[in-house]
Formats: sequence, C-alpha cells, structure tokens
Amino acid sequence: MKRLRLGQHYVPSWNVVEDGVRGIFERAYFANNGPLVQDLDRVAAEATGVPYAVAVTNDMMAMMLAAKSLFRQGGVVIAPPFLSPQLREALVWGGYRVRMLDVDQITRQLDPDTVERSVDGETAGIVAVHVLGNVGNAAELEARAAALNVPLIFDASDAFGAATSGRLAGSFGDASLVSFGEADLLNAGEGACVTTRSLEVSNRVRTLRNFHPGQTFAQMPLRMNGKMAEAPAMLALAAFADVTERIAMNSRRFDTYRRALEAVESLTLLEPVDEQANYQRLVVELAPSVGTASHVARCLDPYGIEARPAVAATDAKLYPVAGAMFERLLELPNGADIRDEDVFEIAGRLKKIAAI
Amino acid sequence: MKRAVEELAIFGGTPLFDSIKPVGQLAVPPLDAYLERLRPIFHEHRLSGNGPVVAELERRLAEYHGVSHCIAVANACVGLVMVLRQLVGGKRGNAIVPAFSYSGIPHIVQWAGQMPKFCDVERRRHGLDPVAVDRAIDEDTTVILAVANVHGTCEIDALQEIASRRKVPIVFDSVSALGASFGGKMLGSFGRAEVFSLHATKMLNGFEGGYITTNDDALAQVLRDQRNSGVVNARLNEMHAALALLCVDQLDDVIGRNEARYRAYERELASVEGLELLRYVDEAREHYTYQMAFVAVTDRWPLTREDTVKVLRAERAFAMPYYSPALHHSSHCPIGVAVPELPVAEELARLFMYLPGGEHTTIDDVASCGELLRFVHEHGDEIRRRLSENAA
Repeated sequence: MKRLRLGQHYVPSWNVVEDGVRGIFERAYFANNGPLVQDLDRVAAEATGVPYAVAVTNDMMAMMLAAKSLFRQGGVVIAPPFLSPQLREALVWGGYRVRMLDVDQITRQLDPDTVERSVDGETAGIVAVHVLGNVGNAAELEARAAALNVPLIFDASDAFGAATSGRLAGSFGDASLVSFGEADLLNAGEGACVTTRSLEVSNRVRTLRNFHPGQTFAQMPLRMNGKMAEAPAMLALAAFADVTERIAMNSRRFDTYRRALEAVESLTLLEPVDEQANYQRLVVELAPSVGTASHVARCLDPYGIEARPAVAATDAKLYPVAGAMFERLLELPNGADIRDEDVFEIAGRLKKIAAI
Repeated sequence: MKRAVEELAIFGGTPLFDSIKPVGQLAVPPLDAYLERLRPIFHEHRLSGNGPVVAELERRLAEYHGVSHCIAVANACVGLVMVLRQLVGGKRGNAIVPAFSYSGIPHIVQWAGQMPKFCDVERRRHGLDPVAVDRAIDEDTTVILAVANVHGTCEIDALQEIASRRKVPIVFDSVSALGASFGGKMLGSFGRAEVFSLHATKMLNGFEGGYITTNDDALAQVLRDQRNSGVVNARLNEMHAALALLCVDQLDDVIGRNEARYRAYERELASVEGLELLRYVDEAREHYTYQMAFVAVTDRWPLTREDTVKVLRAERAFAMPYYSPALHHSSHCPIGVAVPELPVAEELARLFMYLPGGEHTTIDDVASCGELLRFVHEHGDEIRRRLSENAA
C-alpha cells in the first residue's frame, strides 16, 4: 500500500542533481562555506526581499545562532506555545528561559498587546511564528517590538513565498529563519537560513556559524559549527529555481482538496489569510463532534494516510487558544507525490470518520 | 625547483605548485558509484528523516568500531553537545578540557551549559594529562571531555581510571582519530561515548556530518529518541550518509595512501636539519590513520614557524601552525575563565606546524615539499633577512 506522507518532499529533476554533484566532485569543495553556499546566501536574500541571508545546518541551528546574535545572555524569550520543540530546545541550548504566551483567537498569532504587557526587565527577546504559513499581523508585532526595543525573530519556515502588503515572509522582525527540511517547500534534505535586513546581524550569524579565524566578521564570544555543506546548498538553489512551479502545484492540490471537502460541515479547510500564499500546509479544522486531531490521525493511519495535529502539543489549561488549535487543527498530506485521486481517497476517509 | 631566493613565491617567484595543496583528507568514492547510490533516494523523494541509508551507515560504523550503538548526527559538534547535555543532567559546572586542542572545544561545552576548565596535556600523545585532570577535578566538575589527537589518541586507560574513581563521566572527542586504536582496540567504545566526524576534511567524507558511538544502551536510546522525535534537530541527510557509506568501503585504501605519504615525509625530512617529524606512539602495536604530517620547528631551523608557514603558503603548500595559540590564551577562551599556566600546552602550541596531506597531495608533492624545505634551510639567513626587510 502506498503511504500518503505529510510534508512537501519536492526534489529537483535528476539531471539537475547529477550535474550539481558532478560540479561538487570536480571542484572537490564539499563544505566550509563553499561556492554553492555563497550563491545560496545571495539567492535566499533576494527571494525573501532582504539584503542578507546566511545558510546554516538546519532550523534548530538557525534559531540557536539567530538568538545568540540578537538576544542578551541568559534572559527570558517570549514565544507562542506551539513553537516547534526543536526551536524551543535551541533556545534552551542557548541558555534562555522560554516564556509561552497564548495566541490571539482570531489571528492565531502572538497578540501585540499581550506581548507588550508581558515584556519586563528579564525579557531578552521575542520569537514569533508565521503559523500555518500565514504572515498575518507580523508588521504590527514588529512595530510594537521595535517600540519596546526588544529584538524579534520570526520562524518563517511555513511561510516562504507568503506575503502581505507587498512584504514577504522572511523580511519581518530583526531576523527570520527559513527551513530547508524535506517537509518544507524548499527541500535541501536538511538546512535553513537566517534572513535579516541588518548587516550587523548577518555578520554576527556568519561569525557564529563557524570557528575559523578567517570567517570572523564580528566579535562573538560563543560560536558553533553551524555550516551548511555543498550538497544541501545545491538542492536549496534548485528549490529556489523551481519554487514558482512548486507553489502552483500546491495551489492546484489545495483546490482539489477544496472540491473534495466541500459540503462536509464538520470539516473546514483553512484558507490562507495573506494576499500571497504558498499553500504548503494543508489544514482542516475539525468540529468537536468529529473528535480531536490526534484521534482522527490515528483513524487515518491504518489506511496509509499520515496526518497529525497541525501545531505542536501544548497545555490547553494554560493556553486555551493554542490548546484548542492542537486539538482541532489536523494537517493532511500535501506533498509532491499526492495525486488528485489520493486527495479524494483522503477526503472520503475523513467523511466516513466524521459521520461516525 | 628554486635556484635562487628571489624565485621563492613569497618574493615574487612562481609558486611551486599549480594548485593549492591542502591539509584535509578530501577522499571521494568514484562519482558513478555515488550517483548510483543517490538514484533511489531521489526516486523515492526521501532525502532525510533518518532514512534507510542513514540506518545502513549506522550499522556499518557500529560494526567498524565494535560497539553496540552508532547514532548519526548533523555534525560532530551537535553530537558532542547532545552527549554532554545528557551526561551533565541539567547541572551547571565546569567541563575539563585540554588546552592544546581545536578552537571549537570551549564553545561546545558552553552550548552544553558548562564552562571550560582548561587542563595541561602530556608530551607523548598530546592529550589531557591524567595527573593534571586528577588535580583539576572539583565539586563543580560535571564532565571530562578528552580529545583523541590525530597522531596518538590520548592516555585513555589512565583517564578512564580517574573518571571512574572520581565519579565524573568522560566523553572522548575522537573526530581526529577515526581508524586509530588504543591498546590495540579500535576507538569507538571508550568512555561513556565517543564522537566522530563525517566532514570532508576528515577520514570519512560525508560532506559534513558526525556520529556518536557507545555501548551504553540507555544513553543511546535517549540520544536516538531526541534525534528521531524532533526534540533536537540533529538529523543527517541521506545524501551525506550515502557518500560516507561509500567512503567506509575504501577506508583501508585511504589509510594506506596516507601512510605512504607519511613515510615519504619521513624520508624527506630525515635530511632537513631543524625540522622534526612527529612520530606516532607505539606504531608496532597500534593502528593510525597517518592523515597528517606534523613537524616541530626547532631552534636549529633558521626561520620562525610563522615565517616558515608564510613561505610554504606562498608556494601553495597549505601549511598551518598546529593548535596555536593554546586555547586558554586564545580568543576562544570565555571571559571570566581562570587562565592558569599550562606549560606543556603552551610549549606545544608554539612548536608544531602541519604540512600538506590528504588525497590532493601526491608522493611527488611531498618530495617537492622536502626539496623546498632543504632549500629554505640552505638559504635561511638570506630568506630571514629579506622577510625582515619586507616587513619593515
């Protein structure tokens, strides 16, 4: 039985892979800020509408280095409860304490007023998430954080290509991180980049990602091997080249889901809220009568259909809105290998579960 | 070859080598074999997520090192931080580390929530000095991070005995010693865990990457769970694993070529007064990878080590000072950490440089380096004078 996987799983054509690998072997340059990584830094910056991008090992590393480049040592970082576990762990590795704040019921993002009330002398920074691929109220939070003089980092991994009021995800706050994991739109196997409008921040991250004296662009007391190698850089460059086509495929698949799920009252397909979307995350909101997202995911599993709660688990007693999101929002397969008939198969199974 | 001092590249002459002769291993399998390995990965659209190639690599490496568990990770530094964080169990304190080692060491222990406590090293293998370690352990010591060096591992038995007696966990950073043995036993199963690298410049080229080896079932389970469940993103991708896997197959051949280069350096440097090739300890009994040729620049050599490196680099022979300065005197030493006098580390950090090695250096290249060094020795006074004039 074919398994219908979560995640995007786009790969470039084999010819691109073969040529790319041949080039790496010919240059015998495999790691350590090679020519492809340097190209990627430039391409990723252009694609997110900022002057600087710095490619790193993966999203966790991106958060470790971005936080160290912006947040003062040992403080408290404000974040939404559904910040992914590895990004939370990145902050713990960095020596920060994480304070979760529930999100707004309508926008599902950190509420600027609540954030403002919560900032105190211990606050070292804010990490916000473009949750489910939506930029949403990012500009408002950005303005408030700037007024409070608190550095702000966005996790833009779900939202590459999304834009509102002409501004792309990846360009908000003091820095953003964009993941190149295989479940993401831009699949490099593993990898990520930190994007920023600040030369100073980019110099700090560039320094932080290695130990080499020749790659020192700012005085940073703590550093790490966070370098990306040439193979993932080659795949990330190919992903940027293909991204318009990938978004179009996502959009077409999203439309198929719309048709397949219409007239099912207990299931609501979540539409993007931004003017421009990447359709990466395919999420349905379940009516309480259907059961929780975890329950429905377990029901789909025997049929070879991967599904899961669309946000990370959180304590619903402490964070009612984020807790309700964990219980009610279900993510469904939306990758390169999902065909129209698969979408109808998934929708059919969901309808049966909803009817029980 | 150079006939006059002005023909040296540092004084405007043509460089000895057409391309840079690096120090990294840079071993590669045949391109076609690698592409064949990649085809199913791309056909299945399965590039990461602890896939089948990573699993196969882990099995092969566990077998190679003779250990129960191998956990592949994104790179060796991430692997070290994971192991250290697990062993210190949330306690903040000091981690005992060698002062004569690579610059990442003090950073890695800080990511694990510890401050480095620098210890002196011993002269034979250049690893942590067991006597100094025993003296340095105090109530705030949470872990010992011993580094196995490329030319001689470290005094593993003595360090393990101290760790056990003082009840402090010990971890071996064996990044530079993959393929080496201690007491006739392959590295991989010493201490609570060992960590190795899959960086292109090391013995197994996986572009970038690393792995943890251990016989501790519980530790292995926790580390694997952390990596697989997404609590820590430390995944190695399949492209990297596939390259490393093919390099495992050719490891013996690579070591053979390294030893041939090392023997060539032995022959060449035998007749160069003032430069002493660093010998491997107990060669008859132990395995070594012979990856690098380290040379002590003694006071019988006419130039300083730094000037010698400049002369060689101008010729495109990528020489480097070895672990210099000592970590406690470097910019990598955190502010507020006590800087004791560590005489052996300080002396060694002033003494050695390493010469080109790895797959991009041929036996003929080694001979050329030998000839160049003999020329430098012969014309040492004039070279020194001209370097000093240029500097002025």
